[in-house]
Amino acid sequence: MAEAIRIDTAEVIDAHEWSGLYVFEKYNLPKTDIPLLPRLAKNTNKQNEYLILQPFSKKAIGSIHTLKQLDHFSPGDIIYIDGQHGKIRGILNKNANANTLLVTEQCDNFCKFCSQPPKTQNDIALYEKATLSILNYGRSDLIGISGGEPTLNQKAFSTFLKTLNSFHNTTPLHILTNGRGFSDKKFCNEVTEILAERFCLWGIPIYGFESQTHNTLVEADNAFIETVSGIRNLLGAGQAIEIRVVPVRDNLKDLPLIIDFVQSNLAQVAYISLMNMEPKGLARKNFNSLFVPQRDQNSALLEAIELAEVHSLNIRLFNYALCQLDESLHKYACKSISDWKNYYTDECNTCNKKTECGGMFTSADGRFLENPRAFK
Amino acid sequence: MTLETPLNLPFLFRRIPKTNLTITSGYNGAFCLLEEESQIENLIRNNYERLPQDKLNELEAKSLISTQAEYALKASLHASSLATQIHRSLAKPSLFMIVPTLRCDHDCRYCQVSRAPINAEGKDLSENKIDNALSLIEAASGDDLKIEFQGGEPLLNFEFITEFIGKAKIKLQNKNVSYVICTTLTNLTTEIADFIKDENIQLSASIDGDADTHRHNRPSKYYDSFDLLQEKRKLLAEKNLDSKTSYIATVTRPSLGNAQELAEFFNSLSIDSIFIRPLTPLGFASSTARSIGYTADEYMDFYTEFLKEIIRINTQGTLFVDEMALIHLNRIFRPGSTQYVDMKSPAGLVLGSLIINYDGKVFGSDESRMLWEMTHSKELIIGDITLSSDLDFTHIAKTLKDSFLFALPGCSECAYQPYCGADPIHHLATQGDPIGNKSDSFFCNFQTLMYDLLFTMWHNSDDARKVFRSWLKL
Amino acid sequence: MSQTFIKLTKEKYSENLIRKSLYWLPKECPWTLDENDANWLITFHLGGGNCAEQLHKLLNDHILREELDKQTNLLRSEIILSALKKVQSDS
Repeated sequence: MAEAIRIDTAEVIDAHEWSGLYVFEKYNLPKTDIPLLPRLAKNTNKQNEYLILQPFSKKAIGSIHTLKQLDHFSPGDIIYIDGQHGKIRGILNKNANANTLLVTEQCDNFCKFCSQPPKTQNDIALYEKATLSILNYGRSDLIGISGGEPTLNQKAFSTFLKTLNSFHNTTPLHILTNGRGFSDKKFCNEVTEILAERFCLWGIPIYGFESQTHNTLVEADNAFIETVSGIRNLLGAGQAIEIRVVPVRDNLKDLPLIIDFVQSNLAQVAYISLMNMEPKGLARKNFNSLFVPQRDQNSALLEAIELAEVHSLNIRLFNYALCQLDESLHKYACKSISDWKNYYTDECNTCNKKTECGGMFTSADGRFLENPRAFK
Repeated sequence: MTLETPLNLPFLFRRIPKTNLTITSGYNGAFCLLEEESQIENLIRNNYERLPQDKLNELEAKSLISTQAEYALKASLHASSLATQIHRSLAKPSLFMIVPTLRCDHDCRYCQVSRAPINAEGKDLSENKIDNALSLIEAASGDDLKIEFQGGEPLLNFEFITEFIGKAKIKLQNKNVSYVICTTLTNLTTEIADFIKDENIQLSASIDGDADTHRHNRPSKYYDSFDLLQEKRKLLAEKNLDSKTSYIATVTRPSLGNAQELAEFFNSLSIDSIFIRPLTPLGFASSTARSIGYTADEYMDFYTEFLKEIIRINTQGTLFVDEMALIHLNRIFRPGSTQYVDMKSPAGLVLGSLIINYDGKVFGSDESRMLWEMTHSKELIIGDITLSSDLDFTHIAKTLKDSFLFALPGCSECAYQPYCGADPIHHLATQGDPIGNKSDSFFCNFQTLMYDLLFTMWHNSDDARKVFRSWLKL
Repeated sequence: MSQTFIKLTKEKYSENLIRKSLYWLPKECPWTLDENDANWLITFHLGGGNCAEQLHKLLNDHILREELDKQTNLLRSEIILSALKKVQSDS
């Protein structure tokens, strides 16, 4: 793994009894009745010492020590102390280019390129952590909700949203889901009612224009039909949808047909994102059967994008390096990689398009790195 | 789709004449062009193994065929698409036309009912009716609307326009309003130009061709209509209003043999688009129709050459848009985008537009106003701002309920149904009933030939496809 | 002026089919439709031309449409009804 451009972790010692979520330095909230997290604040009298403080108290109930100053966190950030592993991790950070909360690792799809392979254990505590984090964060920036499959436990998902509502939180959310749960109209109506006062963008993957390819890639029967029904129901309820497509060997030549499918059946979607595969997790395991070099994707990407443009569908490229793309595709490429897993090579540092380019995944190193070539 | 035998979903088809193409289209607006004459028979008779795999994939992606397992899903997707289309068409009108005066300084050959002599009395809309007009517009419109001044020659009652816009700024302040004046430009003064600039008004002017053509089609008793137009265009350029001006060309019989020259002429004017349109046999006498009119076939022979020349001009590096083609391309590729009121199902009559005539009477379209001038049929009137700002839809509702293309004879099996529109007033005027016999209809023949042409070009010509793409992107 | 007569069996061609096909014949093919118990009798008043050929092409395509309709008619009605219901509930 290469080193990321933003480090979101720090090492900490003597923290075994202090594991949990904290607000860094100070609360960024108006006077409110939300359940407040404790605070972690620098001891101004002692280098590398941070004090544990209860809400509204100036008297420390404990302290921890770090190896370096925690300069990469900002006041108001939500951080997590993992005492067992001696680490502090940023959960919601002002300086991050994107903030995403993991709410479960359980999933009913088993995508062959999943970078976060599903687990079966009960992890309902993650929902509670996400709720507290959002409530304490106090900023109005979009927050991503990811998994696993966030809607797999329908009750936990609805409760999560309802709890946020009950404290008058209106944080806009970008929820990554396979959409299958929304093929149930009742669940769809229930959720959209809960979201009456909250903007939500649903990021939903479709990997083919028909069941066979999609279901094979997500290793789940009936997934395509349920996902598409779910999208149809959400669109009918006025929700904003982002269709996410990962081009791999099985579906690369079908990209234009996927665009046809979206235009013919789901034309009201807000965005289509073509996302280059992240070589992590199951994607590494299945690398040889899935991988298509970015360079070799160009003609399929071009055809798909031209078609999307004709229909005025909003289409974007995620996770592609500019040196791997035809010039005509550069304007569709976004700087999409989360900074905590993003890096630039030495070659990139000499490139005159570096500031516009999204760079690489930290997992794209060694044999997974596709030869970057600097623009001079 | 490899192992299973697919099922057909409901679709429409048409064999495009003089080609080997058959177009299939669905209620969701998707289309698929089959490339051999036998393919449609094979498709309908379920001989899928005789169709190339890439065609089968395309038909499946576009939900014109389906596996058994996905059949119910695809049916519901069609229903959602159709519902969205209908819903869009039932939105509030977005185009409001106002006729400040019927008086005009031109005697255009194809305009008879839409003008009065320059000094005529009783042909102006009075300023004291503005309040009622604005109340009507405020109630009938959604958040976005376009107000278009027509005539006659609107600039002959310029005071009305300035008064109207002044009051509209208050009455319609919560809306997003854009203004257009349809004008011959010959009455443009510096003062008027400044007002147009300040209020960000768009202009729509006619230029039918070179000097001879323009003078022949659009003569004036008072001046050389072509020379004065060119002079006023210079004034527009001086005031930087040329980018705010778009041009319409109406084609009459004498121009039918000059397609290339006409295209080149428009390109030489340093304008970036032209909206070229055929005459419809409405609003002028049958004797005139004989000398300036034509059939849809005759027009489309002309237009095919014209469009080919426009494409050639674009391919050689100049971006020059044929707006008529673009409207149709938008209907095909971007169903949600176009507000062209003459091509909607159900009809754009009232649902898309309203017009307030110089005498205060309110109609559902410009064509209705013209038809009323010819026939005085009360059923066409939906309001009268000399009396109140109310609207009465009783008569119009009957016409509208019979303007859903999927339910009309002649239209219900047409492959262009997803892209075409109902024009009940045209059929009422030409055949005496709002539905009419489409095989005799200029409107139907013209639309059919237009779509035949555009789909054929899209499929067969790389140059045309590239040019069309560049227009769609604008 | 010679006329052309065409006889089409009612067994194979429904009235709807005949009328839909005649609808689209061009002006150059003025026609009259008569019938007896077993057949439709179509007269083209102006001889020559290819009116019969055009008619047969139109008949063929309308038969195809009838076949497609048999496969999809129920679904078509459902789609339209469902769409209209949805529009009604949205407004």
